[in-house]
Amino acid sequence: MKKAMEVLATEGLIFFGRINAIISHELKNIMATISETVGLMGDLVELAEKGGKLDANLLKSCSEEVIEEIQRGFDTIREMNSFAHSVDEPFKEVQINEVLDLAVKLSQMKSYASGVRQDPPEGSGLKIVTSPLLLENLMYRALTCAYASVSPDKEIQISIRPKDRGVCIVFMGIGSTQPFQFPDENAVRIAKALGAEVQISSSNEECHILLPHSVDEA
Amino acid sequence: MSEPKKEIKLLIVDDEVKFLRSISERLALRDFAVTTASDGQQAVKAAKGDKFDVAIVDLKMPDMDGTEVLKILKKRHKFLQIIILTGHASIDSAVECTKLGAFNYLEKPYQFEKLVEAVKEAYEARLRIKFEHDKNRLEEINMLSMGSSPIGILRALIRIDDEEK
Repeated sequence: MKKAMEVLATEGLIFFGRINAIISHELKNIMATISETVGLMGDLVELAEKGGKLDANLLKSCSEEVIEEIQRGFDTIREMNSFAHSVDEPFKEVQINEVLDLAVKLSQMKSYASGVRQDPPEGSGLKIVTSPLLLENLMYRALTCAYASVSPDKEIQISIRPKDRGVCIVFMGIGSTQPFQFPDENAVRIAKALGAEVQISSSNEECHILLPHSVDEA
Repeated sequence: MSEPKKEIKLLIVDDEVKFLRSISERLALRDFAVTTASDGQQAVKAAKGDKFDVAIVDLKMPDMDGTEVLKILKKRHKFLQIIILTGHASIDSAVECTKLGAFNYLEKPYQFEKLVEAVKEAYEARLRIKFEHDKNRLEEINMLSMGSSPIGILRALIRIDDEEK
């Protein structure tokens, strides 16, 4: 656990900053889209006031777009809030699918993200005691490497499997266009701190991350 | 400052498709001839097939980022003026983009009128640069025509044209 604390102080802080920058970028994009769409609605009304024909369909689609973007904003803020609570306690019992779900949502903010399909875990609500922030970091790194290894139209499949020694997260459908370059040096440090084992299949198409029941066992 | 005319050809590059649609509709209502591209490859392809006056380019995009697009477009289309419009603004990237020849660097969210103003200024800069270039070319032709044979002048013109490509 001491090793995990050390890694948390360095890698954890860097990751926290990086994710905050990504979220702020996402929010800026949402605000810019809302601003432009509302501006367009204003322009259309102004034109109509000057005697031009009001394009009702365009106006309707603009209004729907604004509603969608506001919803996207709410979702992003909810994810930001969940992420902020990752540092409430350095170690705690977490539900693996919740951590994975958050990592997927955060990684989907990357412009090059592919689709992700999460299979329901074989045992519902699998839990482990770990560092939520470091686990999110490890999952996020695996996901971004997975996106870089496939074309954006491809789907990555993830499943969570119970094991005697803990829980195994399996990434499938990776490495189809580029080699899956995971784990790098930092990811190895994080995995070690979490007591996780990373195995890549010889074909480079599957990645297994085995996590212990408790980081104490690491 | 002169009002924008229909012939101002604008290329907008952004991977946020909804944003791209709204901004292009608004700029079209302001009488700009707008073409959109949702990634760098599309932008390079569009610029190859059409002559644009000004391009508005996002920085963070999949595959080819805005800096790369800026480099390629400036190399291939020397009169094209490029405005960077990003949600990922930083002093470092602003300096880098300016060094690479960007005309302006704006951060999202921004005021639409300021963007329109920046496009007009970029267009005027393009006209000035093109005018200077044409003037220099004319002077070069005049210099060559003094004391040269007609074939010599033709050879020199071909050389100048080659240099321009």
